[in-house]
Amino acid sequence: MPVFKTPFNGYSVKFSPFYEDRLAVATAQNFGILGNGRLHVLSLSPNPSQPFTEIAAYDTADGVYDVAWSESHDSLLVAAVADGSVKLYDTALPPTSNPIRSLREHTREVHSADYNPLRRDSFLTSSWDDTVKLWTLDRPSSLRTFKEHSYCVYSAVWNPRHADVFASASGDCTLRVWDVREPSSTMVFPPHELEVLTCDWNKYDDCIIATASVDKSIKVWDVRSFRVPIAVMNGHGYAVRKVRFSPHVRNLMVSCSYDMTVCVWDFMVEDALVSRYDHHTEFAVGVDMSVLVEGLMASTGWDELVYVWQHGTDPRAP
Amino acid sequence: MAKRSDSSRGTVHTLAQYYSPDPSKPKRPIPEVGLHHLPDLIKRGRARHKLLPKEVGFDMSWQITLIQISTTPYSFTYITRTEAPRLGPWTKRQHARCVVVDTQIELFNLCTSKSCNRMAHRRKQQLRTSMATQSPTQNQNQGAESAEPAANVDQQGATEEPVKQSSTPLVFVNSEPMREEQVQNAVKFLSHPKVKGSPVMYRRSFLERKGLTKEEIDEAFRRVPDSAPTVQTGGVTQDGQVKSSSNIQQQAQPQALQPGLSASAGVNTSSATLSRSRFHWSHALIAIGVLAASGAGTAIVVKNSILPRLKSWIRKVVIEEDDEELKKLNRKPTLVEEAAQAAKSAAAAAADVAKASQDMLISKEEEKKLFVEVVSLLDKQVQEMKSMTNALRRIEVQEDLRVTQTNTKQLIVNGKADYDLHSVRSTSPPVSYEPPSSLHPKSYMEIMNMVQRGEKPSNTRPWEVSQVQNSSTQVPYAQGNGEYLNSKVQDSTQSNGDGDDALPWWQRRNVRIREIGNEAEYNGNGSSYGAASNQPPPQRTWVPPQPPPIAMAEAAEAIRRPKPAAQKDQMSDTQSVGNSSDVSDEVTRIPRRSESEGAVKGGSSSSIPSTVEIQEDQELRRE
Repeated sequence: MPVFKTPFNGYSVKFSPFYEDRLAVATAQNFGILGNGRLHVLSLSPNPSQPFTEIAAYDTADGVYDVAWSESHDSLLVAAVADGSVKLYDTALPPTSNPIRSLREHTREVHSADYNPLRRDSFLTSSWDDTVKLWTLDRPSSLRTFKEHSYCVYSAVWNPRHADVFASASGDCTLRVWDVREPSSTMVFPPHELEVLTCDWNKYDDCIIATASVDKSIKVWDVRSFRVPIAVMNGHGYAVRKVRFSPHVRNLMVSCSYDMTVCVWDFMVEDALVSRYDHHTEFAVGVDMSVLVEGLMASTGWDELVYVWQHGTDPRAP
Repeated sequence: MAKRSDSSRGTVHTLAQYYSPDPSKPKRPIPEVGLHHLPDLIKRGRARHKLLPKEVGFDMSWQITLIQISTTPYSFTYITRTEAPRLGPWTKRQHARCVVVDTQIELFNLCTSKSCNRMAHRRKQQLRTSMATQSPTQNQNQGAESAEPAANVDQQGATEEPVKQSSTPLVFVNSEPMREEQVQNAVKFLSHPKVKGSPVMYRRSFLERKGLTKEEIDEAFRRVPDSAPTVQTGGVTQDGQVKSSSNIQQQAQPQALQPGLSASAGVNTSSATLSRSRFHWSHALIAIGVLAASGAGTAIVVKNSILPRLKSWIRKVVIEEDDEELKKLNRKPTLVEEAAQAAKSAAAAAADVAKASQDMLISKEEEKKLFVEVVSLLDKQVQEMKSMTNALRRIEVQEDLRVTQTNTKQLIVNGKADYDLHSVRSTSPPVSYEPPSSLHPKSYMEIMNMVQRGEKPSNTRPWEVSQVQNSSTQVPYAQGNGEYLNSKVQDSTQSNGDGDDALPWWQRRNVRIREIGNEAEYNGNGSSYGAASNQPPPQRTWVPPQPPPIAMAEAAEAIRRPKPAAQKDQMSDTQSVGNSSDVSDEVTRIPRRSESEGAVKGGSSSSIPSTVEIQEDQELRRE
């Protein structure tokens, strides 16, 4: 299975929605504390001796915490940079003209970026300045700012079925569901007692959302009845950093955690843990499942490695 | 009945067409009964929409301006306009409970004015009759709204897409009825005096964390009469925040006594000072009088008693001098000898003085020499710094030539250059301080400590428009980075290293070559680059906000240990963290650390949240 070594510590990995062999990796120097960052665009090749081809690599002044592929253009990327800027990159353009845009509105680190899969023209960025901002590609300034959280917003994720609904997970231990048409959040509830680090919508059921927190658990909720979770999945040894639902299997989800493992869960089953991969030697902070290839997963961590493997196989096997 | 098909997106503006808040504007009559022109806002009773009084006004016989409408029990608040001609003086912010039936609102229990109640009653009856004629499934209970929208969606028969778009977000709304118990608890919380001093944001977020829905929170805020945050002394409010967020009912009371005492003490002292200040004038007058009297008394006493004594003493002295003079005449020859001896001793003393002065001169000369040396060293440093600034300026010039996002980077570079000029720090000590910094892999904790000390990790390039080839990242990643974790990690890094050697792909080889080349480069540049990189990073002026102390206190609650969470000394904590050799503690601290990266990044002054969380996490683990 191909492994790519990034010069900096990895933060996030995303598969391209257009090309099944392409992925983007967001990395930051010095574990993201201080230093430069780099955004890699990699391509998988069937050649076993040369599994990864680096299509492009963009340096940034500060660490890149997250990356999102555009749904409208196959070569556009949105990078969430730790100095508060949101940078747009176009891999089709030469590196000297990249980034094509640098949007500076957040006052603190931008922690996540997510592109609207339905409308295809807008994207969200969430930041440690307690806000979530909505942008479109053509405008130089944000369309809307959603400021209701009282602490860092760690993730904002669009609903895959409703074009105007998104959820935001924040360090103030609440999850908010927003509708872009509404002036304020439509739902707020506390999924965990501790900070909620990540959330993701189920791709098949539009009301199911999964949240994961510092309390090492992953909970799956139905937003219609948010008092009691549908499932609680314990098993990680430390805080869970990222959760992603599978685009191919209804109940499957993958999570990565500070206990250096990537776990795959099936929340409808009694014993939810399907498989556990501990290929990383440092915090595993980024994980993604490919939309185009069933079962293909990628993960990255602070050990500066990016693994891409098929579910069920060993990521470290050559 | 309002047609749902013509309802546009639920914005305030569509409503403003019908309702003009400005009394001077012509008012359009509401075509039908009730407040039913809120279809998009109400969304069949499920949405909560906040309308600003300026934007929306109702032109109804009530002349109510709708502020807020919420779900079951569908209470809303409104401000009534005082200039309502027909209905007399109004009180503001009346509370009305209503039920949303389809898109109509039945108002009942309105304000206190009799005429208002009459209107309400009339409307009620109208609505009831109109409702009775409509579908019988509609009921006015609180829990029935789930059935209604479904039925109404079918009845409306609008096109699918707008219905979908307008109906599906209904799902993403808190649709359960307000829990009175929760609201009452919230009211108790908000009425607490310490809570009153805290920002509204913190109160809201605390209630949200407790699981209250927005409606419940808004209801609680409505019920508490003066929930606006008052500006009190900062220290008290901080204490209040921390303490109010803990168990309100249990711990707040003993803790409230203390701040209460302190507050009352403050009040007392202030009143005492006030009283003192008032007393000052009269007190001053009295003091002056007393002083004058005492002065006069002492003068009299002195005149009467002391002066005679002085005189007698003087006479005695004079007599003695006379005696001495007689005696001196006898001692003349001995005086000469004494004078000679005195002269010799004086000469000796003078010699000593001369020696001392010579020593002084010598030492001064030595000091001057040292001073000259120091000055020369400083000159050298200044020259080095100048050379560095020149180098940086050259880099800047290079930047200008390239087309990139110049502004931010130049600022960073300029900031660093300015710091070069102004910093007095010499290049040598930091380098000797961190000898392995450029060569050994940095662990996470090392980097954090460096940052907190104010130094920058040496592998960070001042931002250039460097391409992939130029980026000389000094992270020697051959060994892997997992050094701050346990031996387990070390084993795995060794195996990882082997694995790296085994993988025969070009990426790794290139990367290694680059690294070696960069190291050579780095060593060649030597001190200048080391100096540049060893300066503290451009200070981030933004200090991250403290997380709501509610969070910390809640964690404390979870741990069930009373702690003065917000008042820990920052530096001691971070140092203890840095110096701790207990690896397991480090491991446990990491999750918290990483989540509070942002706080640490802001500089050492902002490490309160991180340290507190770390501490809490530690304690959690130890439990």
